[in-house]
Amino acid sequence: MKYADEILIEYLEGTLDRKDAGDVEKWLNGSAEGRDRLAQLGTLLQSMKDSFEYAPPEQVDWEFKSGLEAEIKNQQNANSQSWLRIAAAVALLIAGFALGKLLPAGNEGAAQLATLQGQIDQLQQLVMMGTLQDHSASERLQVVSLIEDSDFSPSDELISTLVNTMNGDDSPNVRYAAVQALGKFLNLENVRMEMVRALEYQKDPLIQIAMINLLVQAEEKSAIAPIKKIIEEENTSEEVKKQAKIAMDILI
Amino acid sequence: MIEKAINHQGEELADEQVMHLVQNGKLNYMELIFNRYKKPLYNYFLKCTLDADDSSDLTQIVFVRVMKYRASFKPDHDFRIWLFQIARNLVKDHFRKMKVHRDQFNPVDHLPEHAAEDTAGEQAEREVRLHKALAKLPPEKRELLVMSKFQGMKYEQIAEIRDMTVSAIKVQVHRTIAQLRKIYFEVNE
Repeated sequence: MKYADEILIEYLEGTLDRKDAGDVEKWLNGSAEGRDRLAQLGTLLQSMKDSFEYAPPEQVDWEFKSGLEAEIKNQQNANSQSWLRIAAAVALLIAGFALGKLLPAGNEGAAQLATLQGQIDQLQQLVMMGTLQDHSASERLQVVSLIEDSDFSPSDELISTLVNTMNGDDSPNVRYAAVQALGKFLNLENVRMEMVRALEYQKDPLIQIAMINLLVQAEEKSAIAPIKKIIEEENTSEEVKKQAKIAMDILI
Repeated sequence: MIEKAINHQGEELADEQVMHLVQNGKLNYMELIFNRYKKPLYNYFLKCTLDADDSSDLTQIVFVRVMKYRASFKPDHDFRIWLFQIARNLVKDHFRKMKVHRDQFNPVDHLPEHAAEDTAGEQAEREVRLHKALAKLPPEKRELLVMSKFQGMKYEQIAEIRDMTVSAIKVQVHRTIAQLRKIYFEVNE
């Protein structure tokens, strides 16, 4: 009779019942090989117990603090934006009433209002594009979320900047947010095509799943080929494969 | 800076209570979570990846994800399990990316210098030997040992994180220690 390492580990951990522990001890008394193994296991368990606990470098603290500050700012902006939206809605109501009185009646007045709104949207989109290109990851993330929440029609330049962000941003979180933001514009054919193209070389499972789901929602048949490729790819994660198979069933 | 949070009974707030505050807009309480978990998480990543630089990045990313997905945490769940599920997914992604250049990787060159004074000599040698042996285990098994033996998690907690039965986890941990013994003592059986 020879006891395996697994039993000796239980013996060392004290999880064997009294009878089994007694049997192991009897066997150990007559087995030098068993005692050697027990000693080795004991040494190993002890070195794991004594193993160093390293302190994380200070850089982890700095980065966490700057991330937290950005998130707090983000939250404050979101809160103030809610108030601003309410204020803007009230202001618009008043302005609408005043303009109704002041502007020439009929189509001319409406056209002037539409031009004004268009100029504001253009300005907002220009600022967003600039931020997406040369600001910190948390600021880029904030802008992408703003785009997702806004209700203007995006310019071609803004779509193209978002596509570049989805394909090449350093931060996976920003890339993921860009996919979600683009998902809002899937009624545009060029956005769907860009997403199908990007699906071919995206490797992050979370992003792959988000893209597949969005393309299925948009009933985009041209996504079938890249989704098939994802299923056949050896390195694709199991969860992505599962989602891709469901998508294939729906799209075919 | 928030270093401690106490409830009405004078007890320190549990992680789940702190997360509840974070979910309700008190984001600065994230500092408390960070201070409680930065070291365990860093050491978890370090033992799993055996790379100090990557471990710093991964530690940072976990907290970004906790903030980003804070709304999805259910306060009646165990926060530590939720946190380590996030960490575990990051380790898996890390190894998927590493697959390409794992051959040129020498883990022991990538460990941080230890700050304590009493680490020279025998204990430091044992540590290097342990890391070399751990590096020879497949990542999945190494991670299992890290949770059980280095992070001191109960089999029940690991079973929940890995979505497996407690008995299966126990068997796997014991088998992995047995395998590590042979590597550590260079036993040829």
